[in-house]
Amino acid sequence: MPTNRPVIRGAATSLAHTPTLVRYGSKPFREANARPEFLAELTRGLWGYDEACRYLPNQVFIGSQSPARLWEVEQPWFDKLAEADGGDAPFGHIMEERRFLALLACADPFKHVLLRERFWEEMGPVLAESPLTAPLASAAPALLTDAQLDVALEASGSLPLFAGGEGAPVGVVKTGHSEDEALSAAVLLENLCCKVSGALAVHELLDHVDGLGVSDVDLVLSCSEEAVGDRYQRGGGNMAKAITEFAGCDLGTGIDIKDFCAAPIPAMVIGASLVESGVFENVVVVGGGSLPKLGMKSLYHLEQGIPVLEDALSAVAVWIGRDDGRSPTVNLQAVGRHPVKAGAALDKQFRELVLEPLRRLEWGVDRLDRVVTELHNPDITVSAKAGDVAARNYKMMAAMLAMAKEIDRSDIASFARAKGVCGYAPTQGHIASGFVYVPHALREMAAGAIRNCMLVARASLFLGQMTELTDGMSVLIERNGG
Amino acid sequence: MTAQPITLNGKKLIILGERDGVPAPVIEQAIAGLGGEVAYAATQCFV
Amino acid sequence: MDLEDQGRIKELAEEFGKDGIVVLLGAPTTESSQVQFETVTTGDPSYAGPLAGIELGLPAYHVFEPHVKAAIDPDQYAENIEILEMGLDADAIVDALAGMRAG
Repeated sequence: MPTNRPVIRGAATSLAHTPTLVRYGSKPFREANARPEFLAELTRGLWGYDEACRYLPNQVFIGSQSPARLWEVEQPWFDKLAEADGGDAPFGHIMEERRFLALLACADPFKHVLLRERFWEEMGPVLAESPLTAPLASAAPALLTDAQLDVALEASGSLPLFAGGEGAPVGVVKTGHSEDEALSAAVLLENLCCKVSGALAVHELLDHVDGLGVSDVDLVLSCSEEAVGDRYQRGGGNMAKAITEFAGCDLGTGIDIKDFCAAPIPAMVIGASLVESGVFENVVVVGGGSLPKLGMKSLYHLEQGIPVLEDALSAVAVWIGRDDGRSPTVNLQAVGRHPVKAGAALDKQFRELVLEPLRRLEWGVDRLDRVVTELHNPDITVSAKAGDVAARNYKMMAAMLAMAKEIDRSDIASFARAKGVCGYAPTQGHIASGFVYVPHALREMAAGAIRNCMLVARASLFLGQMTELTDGMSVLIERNGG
Repeated sequence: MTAQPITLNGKKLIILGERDGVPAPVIEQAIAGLGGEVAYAATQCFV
Repeated sequence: MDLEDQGRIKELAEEFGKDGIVVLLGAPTTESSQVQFETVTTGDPSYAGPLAGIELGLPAYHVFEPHVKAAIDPDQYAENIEILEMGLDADAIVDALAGMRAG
């Protein structure tokens, strides 16, 4: 007997390998403005598509490797590329850059992204023959002849689009309004990258799960990190609606959920609540990729002579629907929240987000099989002197649990391996924030490896300088039928 | 051996906290009443 | 260290002098603690910010260091910092900064 009890019926990922867009990441863009020779250094430090496909963290991201493999292969991983690209892609594909650039133009209804005619002649058929991209490439993009492109590139504020590193631009992003910083070429590019990668994740979801057609999606919640708007309303939204439209979900609508890196968990909780209340039936929570985060640690990586590892736009989509008797349930009785009085310290945050919901359920820690938080790839952060974020989180969580007498002090060191996951996600905070693990959690529950999984997300609200607080939320997913 | 406590009285304090370490507001709270004046406080987030 | 932070620290150092200032650090790793300590003492090691090549020589301490701990009310320390200290590699941070002071 179907009920409105919310379950996670499927999840998918999308990774767009976009090395030539790294120059438009926030840090590289500022560095290149200060020091133009930086662009040549950056280009030399970037990987090709083949290497990106053979990189273990990327293979775990698309599900062709299990997260357990990360414990087995000694870090760092960038110098231990796999022989092959991992073959199938259980959760989604790694997209090659040229396709992604062509889709940027297809996704732009205002024609600020213009492609070189010859580039589209080459890429149009490529997009049309792939079941993943064909539905997204039905609208013809704006095209320019070589001479027209040269003129467009000269215009103030426009940004060239490259493909394959060196060589002539394959397109251009023009500014959307000469007096509006919220519609500059850089902001439009950032937002279109989020829109395209988010729509790709939605289509990976549609392609990878049974029972969800493009017309079945009635609500999309975007938990992405962009800000769509204009000079009168920066961050006005609505990325979710734009993704819904571009993905072809004509019967659906969309709303953005904002909470810095933590947004996916509030979005999942809200989505599950809307399913349980009967307001919506099939909610898709989607996080699109974040262009500003590309190359965030590139200066460190170049200094150490290692590849610039933040070279891909990552996206995740999760389908929350009504109980089908099989899919893992979202336990809305165990939502962990971060009250204002908890302050900003990590131990207090974990106390509210992990321990408090367990006590509400009258569960001991032993009943929790998996707890997942901030799975940033340590290859990226350790080399940037920021340490292993996931490992640090687990140690702090364990210290808090030990002080609360929930675990023994002697178990602190082994806590991460016992309950946790090694980091592997791109440093796109909302994706790394537990959200990335949802498809693995579903697979592990289906295989009987775990009974439950708590997703814990944290948000650095103080970065926006409206409060000194952090935020966070957690949610528990459980195997259906206990 | 017990360490000599640092003197904050009469000093201008610069507090550099970190999200995953000790955030600036937590340091400010801990040293409140020691006589220093917080001249600048910031919390970093490295990811 | 963040360039904005470096700029503010430079201004304060110019205004109050090194004898009038104490820097308190809360970084989570030895490396990030060392970078911050170095930036406010001998200059920005990345040579990217306003403190590149500028030896401010400010007195700087991590809050886990014994001299700071001794100054803080024990109840305050237990309430606000003790679990953070336990969850991070506090001894290594303390040793690293002691090593840098020793030169």
